[in-house]
Amino acid sequence: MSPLDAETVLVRPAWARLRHCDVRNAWLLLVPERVLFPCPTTTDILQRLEKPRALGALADELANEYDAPAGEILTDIKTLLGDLVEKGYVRRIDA
Amino acid sequence: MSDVLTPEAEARPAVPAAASTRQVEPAVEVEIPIGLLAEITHRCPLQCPYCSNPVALERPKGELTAAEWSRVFREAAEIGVVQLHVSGGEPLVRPDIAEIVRGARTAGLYVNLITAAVGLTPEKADALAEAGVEHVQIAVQDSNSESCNRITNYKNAFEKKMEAAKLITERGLPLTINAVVHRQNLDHIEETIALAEKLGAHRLEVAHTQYYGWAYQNRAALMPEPRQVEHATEVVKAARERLKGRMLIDYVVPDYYAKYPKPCMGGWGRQFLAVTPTGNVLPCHAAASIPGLVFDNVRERSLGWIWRKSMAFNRFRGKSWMREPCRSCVRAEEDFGGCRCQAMLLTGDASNTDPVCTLSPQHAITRTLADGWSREAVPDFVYRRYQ
Repeated sequence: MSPLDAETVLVRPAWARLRHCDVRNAWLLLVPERVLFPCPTTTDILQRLEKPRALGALADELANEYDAPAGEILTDIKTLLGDLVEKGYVRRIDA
Repeated sequence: MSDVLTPEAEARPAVPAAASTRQVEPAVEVEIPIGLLAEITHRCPLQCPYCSNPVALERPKGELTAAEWSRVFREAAEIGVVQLHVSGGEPLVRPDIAEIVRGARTAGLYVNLITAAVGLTPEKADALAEAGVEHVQIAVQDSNSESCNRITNYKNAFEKKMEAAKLITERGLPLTINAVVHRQNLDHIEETIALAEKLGAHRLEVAHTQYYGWAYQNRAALMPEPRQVEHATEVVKAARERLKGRMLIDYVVPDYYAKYPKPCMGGWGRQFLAVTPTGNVLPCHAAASIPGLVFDNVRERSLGWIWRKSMAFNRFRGKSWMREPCRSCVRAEEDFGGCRCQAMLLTGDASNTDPVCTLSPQHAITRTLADGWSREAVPDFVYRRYQ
């Protein structure tokens, strides 16, 4: 599997369902046979990945909103999403 | 972020649960459950000799209706359940399967359909997708037709499963291939992995047979030899690395060859409920094998009441029921003493340490049994059927 970079296009499949659980007061990512508890930043990114996005463009968007360097944000996104991509809960559509 | 689901339970002074008492106040903080297994029927066209259903199968008369299941699903969601496993028997034999699925989605549950898949048609696949199934798991008993059909005792099971897998992936649903492995198919592990890849599976679950009920009856036909287990474990390890990002492989280590027991069900009464076709609620699908447990029924009680107060759920919650070496063990809140059903089956007392654990004074039982069973001449299967 090639490493993620700014040109990588990712999408969260419809079956990787992000929902808020009122009983736990927490966001959950529901996938086949598993429940993941994403942190607030990962939740925000997963919401934005409902439609295919290039990571570079996503980092630029977040950089504008959070007034932070896009390069650093891109590095953070790659770290946050690496495991999810490896498990197939976020899909590359450039590969 | 983590997919390890271990909210901490604070142990409080223990209240012993008497077997004769139906309602028991929990002695420990009751956690929020995560998953519910809905065995919507015990009917199944296949006859796999390691079926996880009890040997005493429940008859169709008395099965919960789709409306009753909808209520159970709503009550499950109210107490925090998010994952639903719709299983059987074979769930597709229920003509109202789509209605059952719709009820689950309306309640907000994530719907995993666990199926033998031999009855799947394009029309049923459409209906299930429209009703909101989010993931389908198809059991494949071996990587070739002859062996798969023999294990299931069903003509053309393999061919029908291959067709069914295509119907699932064509509809954009994630597919898991579930491969229960044992002495008679473990040497085909490479072919099984290749088959799952070819079918476009998102996930492959390689699960060693659990020796209760039907599988225990068939133990001499199923228990693998150590060399088979070692080989398969190496093959899976290499395949996992190779398939990263393409296919997830979950591997359930065989109990009898493990060092420590599995945290069965994530701990008794901590994460999981199983509901039988007629509505009995169990902390684990095999719990009926433990004498003295009293199970409550969704026709008489709400699921929330059962989760908190049912005697069966409170019997092995917390640590007060544990004996040594579990009670003072550093692993006590990691594996919770292992499997209660296995402790019952192999030591005659469900409160004992699961003898799979190398720290158990009765550990020699498991190795002796495994060695013995795996060396016996392979007998014919005792196929799963109503008796």
